[in-house]
Amino acid sequence: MFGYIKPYFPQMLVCESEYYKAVYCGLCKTIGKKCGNLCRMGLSYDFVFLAVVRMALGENKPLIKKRRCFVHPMKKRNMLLQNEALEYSSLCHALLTYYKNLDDIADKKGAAKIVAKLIYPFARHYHKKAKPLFELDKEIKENMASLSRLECEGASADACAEVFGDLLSCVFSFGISDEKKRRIAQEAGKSTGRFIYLCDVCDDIKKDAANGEFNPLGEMMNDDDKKRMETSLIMHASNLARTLELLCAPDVPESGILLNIAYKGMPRVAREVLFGKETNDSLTEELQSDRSL
Amino acid sequence: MTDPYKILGVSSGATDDEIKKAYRELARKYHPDNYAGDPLADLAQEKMKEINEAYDAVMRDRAKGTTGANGRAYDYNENRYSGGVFSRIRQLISTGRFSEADIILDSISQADRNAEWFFLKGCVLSKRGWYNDAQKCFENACYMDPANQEYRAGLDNMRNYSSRFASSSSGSGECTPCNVCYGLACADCLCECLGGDLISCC
Repeated sequence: MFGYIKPYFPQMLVCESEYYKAVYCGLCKTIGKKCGNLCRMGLSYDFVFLAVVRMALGENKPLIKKRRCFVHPMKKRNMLLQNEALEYSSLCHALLTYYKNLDDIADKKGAAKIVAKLIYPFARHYHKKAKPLFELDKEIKENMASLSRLECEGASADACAEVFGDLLSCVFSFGISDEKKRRIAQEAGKSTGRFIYLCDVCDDIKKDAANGEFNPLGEMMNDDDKKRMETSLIMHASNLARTLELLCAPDVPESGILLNIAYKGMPRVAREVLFGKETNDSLTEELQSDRSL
Repeated sequence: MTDPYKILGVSSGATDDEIKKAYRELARKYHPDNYAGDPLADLAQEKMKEINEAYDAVMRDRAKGTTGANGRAYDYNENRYSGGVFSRIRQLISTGRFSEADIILDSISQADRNAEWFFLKGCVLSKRGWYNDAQKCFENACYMDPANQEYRAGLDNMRNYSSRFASSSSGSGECTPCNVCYGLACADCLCECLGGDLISCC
């Protein structure tokens, strides 16, 4: 998972943004405790999103304290104290880092392959740390296997994205006993996974063509392809938005963050991935736009 | 039972107008039309029921007798649509049996795959969330039969819906009646076109 699921900060309330950062710091610290400090380096927004969703699904009130951490030693920061959602998300991070590494070793060529092989001993270590989730591990393994089989067969990007969606559906919903909540988590995972996978293949298309690696979208995208993909990505974002609305309520403190991510963050990321950063509005235009949320 | 005011997200000191406004916003958000064809439609329906009950409870609590003016605007009826092979497939699609429709579609030989085939395939794919492939199918259908309004609508609805979503600045509040139609139009480009009328306002 690669950081495509993030909020759009300029249109976030300051308190929501503080809360989000506190989750980020808390997750980073939890990863350090659970899986070792090196593992913290790979932390991406996607896992923060996972943690926020799991918190919104859970019952516990968040506990935020000012704490110091060695990455930022100068100033105390708001930090969410370790809770179930953070622990779960940190273990998932370890697991998926491991599988990403395996995937890199199998698919990459040249220097990237060597780097992936050098990282492997660490990745295997993370995998061991994630032992408590061995049932989830099995599901991820199966999905990764069918994903690489589909990629070998040259299946369409949508077909591959579906499998990755199923994978994240397991990750989001694992261990939730309440049936309604589990279904919401499953749907959220599905849309999220498809969105991430498609963003990733779009992002990689140039690199893959240059390195002679496989990409389900082929070798390049013309303007029609991009337009089509934009529609697809936004459809997935809107599906996620509808799912998350079911989770949001006045007494769920995560509501604002979740809706910001789906309504503002994801469409923006989709455009950035397809058309580059400069196409997004400048700050002044932002200030003139309608910002009611 | 949970506090009905809390469900509506208002304080117990709120004015009637504030309550109505809060109710209207929530009802638009969770309206079944927004979740037509969504796997979580039943949860949205439950939420809608909860909101309706909360609203009724609050209004009963307050008005005590002056009913009538406070009737809910969002009662709804579920629409049903009915429809060689393609009409059979249309029937399957309109009753939500997408995987069966897909199997029949795939069994049709390459030579017989006309514009209608691509349109129906597009409907099934989009239902499955394969939006990229679905758009290609719709485009193909439009290319093979440029004059057909139904095929054009299938493609346009999806594009309009997504550009509408992307440009909507609001996450919750600004849900105009027309927005509801967009959601409806998109979900129903699958089924509704098969029945006939498209929604007139969008």
